[in-house]
Amino acid sequence: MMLTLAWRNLWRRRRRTLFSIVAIAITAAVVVFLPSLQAGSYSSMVRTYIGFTDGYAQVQHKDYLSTPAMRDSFQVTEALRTALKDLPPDVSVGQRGVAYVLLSSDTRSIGAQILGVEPEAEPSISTIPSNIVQGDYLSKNDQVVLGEVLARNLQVGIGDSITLLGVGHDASLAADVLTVAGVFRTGITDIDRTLAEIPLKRFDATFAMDGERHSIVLNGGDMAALRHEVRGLRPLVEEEGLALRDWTELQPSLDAAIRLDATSAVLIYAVLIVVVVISLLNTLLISVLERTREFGMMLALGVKPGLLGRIVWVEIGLLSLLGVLAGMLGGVILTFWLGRQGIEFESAQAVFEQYGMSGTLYPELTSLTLFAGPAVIVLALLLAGTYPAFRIQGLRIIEAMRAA
Amino acid sequence: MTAVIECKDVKRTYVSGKIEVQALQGVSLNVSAGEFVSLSGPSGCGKTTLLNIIGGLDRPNGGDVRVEDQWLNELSNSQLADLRMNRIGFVFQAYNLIPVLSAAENVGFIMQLQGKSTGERRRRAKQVLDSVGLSGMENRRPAELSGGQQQRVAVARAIASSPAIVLADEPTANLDSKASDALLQLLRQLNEEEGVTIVIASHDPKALEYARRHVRLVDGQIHSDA
Ligand SMILES: Nc1ncnc2c1ncn2[C@@H]1O[C@H](COP(=O)(O)OP(=O)(O)O)[C@@H](O)[C@H]1O
Ligand SMILES: [Mg+2]
Repeated sequence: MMLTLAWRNLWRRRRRTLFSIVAIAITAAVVVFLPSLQAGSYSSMVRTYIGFTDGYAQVQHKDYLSTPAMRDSFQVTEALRTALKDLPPDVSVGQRGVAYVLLSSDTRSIGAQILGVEPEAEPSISTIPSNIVQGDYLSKNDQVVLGEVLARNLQVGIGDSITLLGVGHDASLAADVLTVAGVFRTGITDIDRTLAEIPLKRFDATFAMDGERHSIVLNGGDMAALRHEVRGLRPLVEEEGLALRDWTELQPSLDAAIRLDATSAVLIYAVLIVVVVISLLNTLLISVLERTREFGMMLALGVKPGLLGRIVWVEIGLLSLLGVLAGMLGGVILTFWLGRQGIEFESAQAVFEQYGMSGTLYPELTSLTLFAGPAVIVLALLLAGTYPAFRIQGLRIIEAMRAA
Repeated sequence: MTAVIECKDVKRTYVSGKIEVQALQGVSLNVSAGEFVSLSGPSGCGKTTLLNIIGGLDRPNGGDVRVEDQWLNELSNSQLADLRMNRIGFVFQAYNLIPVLSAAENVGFIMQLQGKSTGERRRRAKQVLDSVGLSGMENRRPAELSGGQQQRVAVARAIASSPAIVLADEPTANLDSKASDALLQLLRQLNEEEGVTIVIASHDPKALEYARRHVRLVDGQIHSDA
């Protein structure tokens, strides 16, 4: 009965109710669509960043993250090798060695970070191979690829030789002569200025690694699958005394930046919801108080004040549910449509490109972006609805029935 | 026969601002089951106040009221609400009906509060609406009924759950004389045929013609009772 009564009461003032529903729906659509857009931009940002070299997650020596030292390395055990081999095909794996060295050309010497990589594995875990702007990626054992700025600073080009000087795993001197095979550009100055890659086999020999590795990188196109597989892999990795670190640990500043941006956006959504709810509260209150006499009559018939309050509350609940459902539908349609089309931010293109991203954003609907905002709207309205409900419960029958 | 209503020296004073209005100045009145009592007197003499107190809508400043075996002063607000729901039928001057419910739903409303089943409500609503002459109007909303018909629905609702008493406050005030006659005739018929106890407050002289006992209030006191 409460539902019938509430539903019909809602449509007594058709226009007012429709107006309220539209207001709620627009708010709900906004708090579905904008967070989805943010989620899309975050995930494209994350994808881009982890795509350069870090990957989605890495197996590392426990101490490697805090102080990336040559000696903080590990052997890939048989168990780990088997587990990695058993990963589904949408998770790609590559082993690496890492060293900090001095690179010298005929004219210059510059400090650089050298990654020893498996050239055949890299294209599926890193975007460096596809970002080669001169020459080619690694194909021979004595080759090196350099970041664009690094190559420019060394004043070397394709086919030139450079020498490498560093410290090996056994603390011996590590020295090598390499041929520049290619130059890559990620757009990230830090990477382009300091990074060089050589084949892992060469790295092994040069740095006397004796099979030791600094990281095993996991990456792939499907973040959800990656998350799942990483979770499954973790116990084994930890059993081996190693650490499995995902991108939030590998790129803490990216994670922090995203959190900060998300937090400030949440505050803005909260303000939006509060403003809408407060402006609706007035309408709700009027629609209740104008029925004072009717409510008085119902009290006279023996309806308990609590029930009256609940009827009002259910009415507000229905109203907000209708509005929120309509808004969610709108938000979902908008998100899906633009998720396929992509939204081009021409003015922001330059900024995006600086970070190696395209200027087109694809909103991404997640259960969080779909439900969180609308749920808060419903809760806020129900909370606001306690006021009119409370006013009605405090009604004195005699006065209510004398009310005009 | 013991009275269904017993008013014992009922007093009610209203304070609005600095002015005190003594609406009832010690009213004692017994009504037996099956009586049809009119409460008359000039406007402002306290008719509504007395009905409200008998019906448990308002509480007296002095004295007490008994309805059947319950002294109202001893009841909590919630118990008063239950008493109204179960034992008292009300017919007011206006705004009797819930506008979004049909005639049958309005009649069944109290039964619904009482937790009666849908089937039972529907059957009883139809039966009672038939008895007040509104056959075929079960599904009309109040706005689709005339003033007289609306008051009949209110009467039907008042008697639907077989209350001990029906209290009617100026039920004909908004009706033309033909509709007034019909409504009063209906109340009388219910009183005679079904033994419903009725107290009707009205300053409409017509009401006196239909009631069988006439209580006249003046300045918050019983002036005559015959
Ligand atoms: N809630 C109230 N507040 C103040 N005065 C009231 C209130 N209700 C009734 N009165 C006063 O009490 C007196 C009796 O009122 P009422 O019982 O409504 O008379 P009647 O129904 O006979 O016209 C009137 O003087 C009226 O103004
Ligand atoms: Mg009156």
